[in-house]
Amino acid sequence: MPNYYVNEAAFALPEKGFADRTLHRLESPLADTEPMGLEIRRVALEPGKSLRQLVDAEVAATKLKVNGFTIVEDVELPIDGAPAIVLRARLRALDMPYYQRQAHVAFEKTWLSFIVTGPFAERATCDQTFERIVHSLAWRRD
Amino acid sequence: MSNYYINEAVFELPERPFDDKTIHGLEAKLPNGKTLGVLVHRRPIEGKKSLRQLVDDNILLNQTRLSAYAVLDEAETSIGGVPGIVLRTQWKQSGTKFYQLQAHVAVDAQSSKGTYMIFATSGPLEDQAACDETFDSILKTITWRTE
Repeated sequence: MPNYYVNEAAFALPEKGFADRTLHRLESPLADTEPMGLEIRRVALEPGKSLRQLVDAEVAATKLKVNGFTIVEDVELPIDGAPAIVLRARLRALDMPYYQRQAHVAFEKTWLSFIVTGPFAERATCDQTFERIVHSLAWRRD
Repeated sequence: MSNYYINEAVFELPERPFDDKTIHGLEAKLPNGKTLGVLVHRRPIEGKKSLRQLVDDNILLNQTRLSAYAVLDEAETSIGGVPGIVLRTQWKQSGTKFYQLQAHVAVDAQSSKGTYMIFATSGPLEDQAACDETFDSILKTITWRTE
């Protein structure tokens, strides 16, 4: 039986081919402004498509949906040995400038995205949170 | 720094408050094409509510938002060594009867950061056995983080 981990616990699931649709969302309050958000999404990697193709397609779709969405940095680097694309972006929401860091990782058969978003004025806090996550991340090896 | 676990990995978060609004949803296709779902939900415990009060509030909420919602039976039990309340429930949606097992737990209930967690498995009533099997597996194997 595969073990499934949530932050507080772990448990075994029967072999029924469960697909994980979990959307992780954590919020951290900031002084006098909207909170900083951390989102973690996972999608099955599409056969025949590279992580680069998937990320480029998502960025193009986001540009159409999100006001002022602009990529200001795009770097390829491994995260704990897994291929990854790390983005720095800005956007507008609630009539305010926002700042976003994204790490897209191909881990086994899954495309995982780690996304930290906050008001642009709080970009240092966003950077600190994002860097901490990316540099400390360790994949399950069992 | 505090560690945060997801199914695939662990990472550190800075020492600042984070409110975890994550809802875990796992789905499996059954041989008859129907879907079996596992849901894990958490939220901070408000005030000094007991687990019993939290569960009763949750039952009331489900009675207002789900059609023909009924608790079939309930029991107090240990969930990985933590006191819990387990419910068997059913409701109706679009003419189909659904069945759900729920385990309610108050984690760190004595601390200011107490968390109310619900572990649930659900599916069409005709797939009760698959729901029971999955729920029993969760209940029998759950281990809480101790670090």
